[in-house]
Amino acid sequence: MGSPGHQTGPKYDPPLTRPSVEQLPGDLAQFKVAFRYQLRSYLRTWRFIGLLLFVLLISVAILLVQLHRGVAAVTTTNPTASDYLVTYLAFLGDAVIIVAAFLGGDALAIDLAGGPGYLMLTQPVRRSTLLAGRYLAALVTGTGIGLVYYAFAAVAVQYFYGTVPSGILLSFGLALLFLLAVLAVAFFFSSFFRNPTVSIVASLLILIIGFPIVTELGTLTGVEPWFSLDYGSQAITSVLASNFSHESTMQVGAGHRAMITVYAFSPYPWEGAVIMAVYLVVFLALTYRIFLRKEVRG
Amino acid sequence: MPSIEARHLTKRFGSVPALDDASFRFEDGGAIGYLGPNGAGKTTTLKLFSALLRPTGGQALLNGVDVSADPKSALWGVGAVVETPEPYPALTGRETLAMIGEFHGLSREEIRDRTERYAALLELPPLDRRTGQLSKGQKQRIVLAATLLPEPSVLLLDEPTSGLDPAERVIIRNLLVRLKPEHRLVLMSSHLLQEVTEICDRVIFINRGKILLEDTVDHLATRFRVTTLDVEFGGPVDASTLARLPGVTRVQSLSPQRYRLEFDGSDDARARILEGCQKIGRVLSFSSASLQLEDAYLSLIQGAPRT
Repeated sequence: MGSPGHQTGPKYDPPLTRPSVEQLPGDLAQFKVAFRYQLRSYLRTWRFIGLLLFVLLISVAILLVQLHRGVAAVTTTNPTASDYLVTYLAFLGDAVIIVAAFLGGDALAIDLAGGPGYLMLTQPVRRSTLLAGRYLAALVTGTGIGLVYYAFAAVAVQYFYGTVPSGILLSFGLALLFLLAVLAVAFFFSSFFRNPTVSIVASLLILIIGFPIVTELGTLTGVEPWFSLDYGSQAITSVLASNFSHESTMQVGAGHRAMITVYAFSPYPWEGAVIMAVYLVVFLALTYRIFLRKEVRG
Repeated sequence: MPSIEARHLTKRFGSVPALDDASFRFEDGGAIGYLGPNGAGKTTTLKLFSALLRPTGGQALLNGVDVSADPKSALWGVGAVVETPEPYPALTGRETLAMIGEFHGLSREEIRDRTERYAALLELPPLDRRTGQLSKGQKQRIVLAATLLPEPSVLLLDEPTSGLDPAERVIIRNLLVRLKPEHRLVLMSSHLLQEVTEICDRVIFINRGKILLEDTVDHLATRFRVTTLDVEFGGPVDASTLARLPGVTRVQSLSPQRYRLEFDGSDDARARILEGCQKIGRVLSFSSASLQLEDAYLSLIQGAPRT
């Protein structure tokens, strides 16, 4: 380290006055700044590269297995291109959850834990602006990763069936809605916990284990789990199914004494969309409320 | 005109008062040292002013705007370095400065020019390196540069040189001294009394959430002036004899031959005490010292007024 700063360096400006309030940038301008730098931050992290590789790996693995089986075997198992997509997209829900938990799980907790928060939350920027910028950056990043999955699905279905069903667009739209809802849940945990790691783990546990358990309880008890986000997400594939059935039952067991009835529910596409939209609105509202009021105690 | 004002500002964590009914107001330029031991309420005060905490009662106002009611407007034209802020590790130093500049509505040219200026003044590390790869001191200087980039009229600094190596401390201290004549208003907490004496014009003493005193550094030095004389004799001397010397207010025995005498600091008293000491025994050494601000600090914090 060299000589003290006042002995070197350029000439300093004359005394300053506080800028007028009219010069204060608007919320929209600051939202764009928050979004741009958050997106840049996301795209540079190992986490993003890891998530992209994870999705690529799943997509390539599915494709390779099916290529190994051959066109005849694949088209026999799935008579239509839409049915094939239902099979291909079976892992999409979990992939979206993992992507959203890692992108959104610490998006706010990183500030509330101190560190960067002491820099960001002391700026003349509304917390709601920061929240919106980060949410959009996570959404764009997650959508990019999701597009990779759908691109592989489109290529595979074109290869095996010579056509891409138009339903894939509706399915992608519903997947986008699911990503929005899951990100809202992850952001909620991120605003709730001060520890970024705890926030990510909590998001993963609730989304990957908690909601599916709730859905499965419906299967056993015969109650349609319309209150579960996991159930709503099934609309992503049910919109493609050629033999869609909203409710069906099955007798399971060996011999007449052990028979039990298992219920299977699939949401109507509109129903799934409504469930996901409700989760999106409720969890974003809760996140907004908590993040605005949370103190940074350090 | 920049201003910082606390109106009966109170913050409780549960039943524990971290800041209790604090009131003060400063305006125009100048640097205010905010002094107190650990847990006194210094950082809590600065967090209340920078919208990181919400007050339990009272108001924190920056440039006349209530921080709690309208944090965006209140923090406009204000720079805050509270606790240990860190830049986002994935962004470079240049991007960090640009982001803060853009939040404040600076043009690209302004950001570029000011970045160059603060890079020189604060001897910033290479700005195209990601901040996650920088040392703690380097990150701290990037953060300080980002805070100063919008040229704030009010600066809130929480122990700005804490955790830095001596060379980095000199850089920051020199910059703060340089900011003084620029009509900025600086509220700076610190443990380093020497630093406060160099940088600040006024000081506030706080302990256990209560403001104990607010005054100018010069006035405090006079008000709390307690000058001491260290005297060493050639042999053992009776302390009660020393206590009877004219002008001596207190005697502290350091050894049978060495004593510390407190007096009012005047030259007359010093001459009389020296004369008296020479009558009592052979004087080997006779030296005086004045602790000024440090003495005032200790007097107030320990709750033992010495004037």
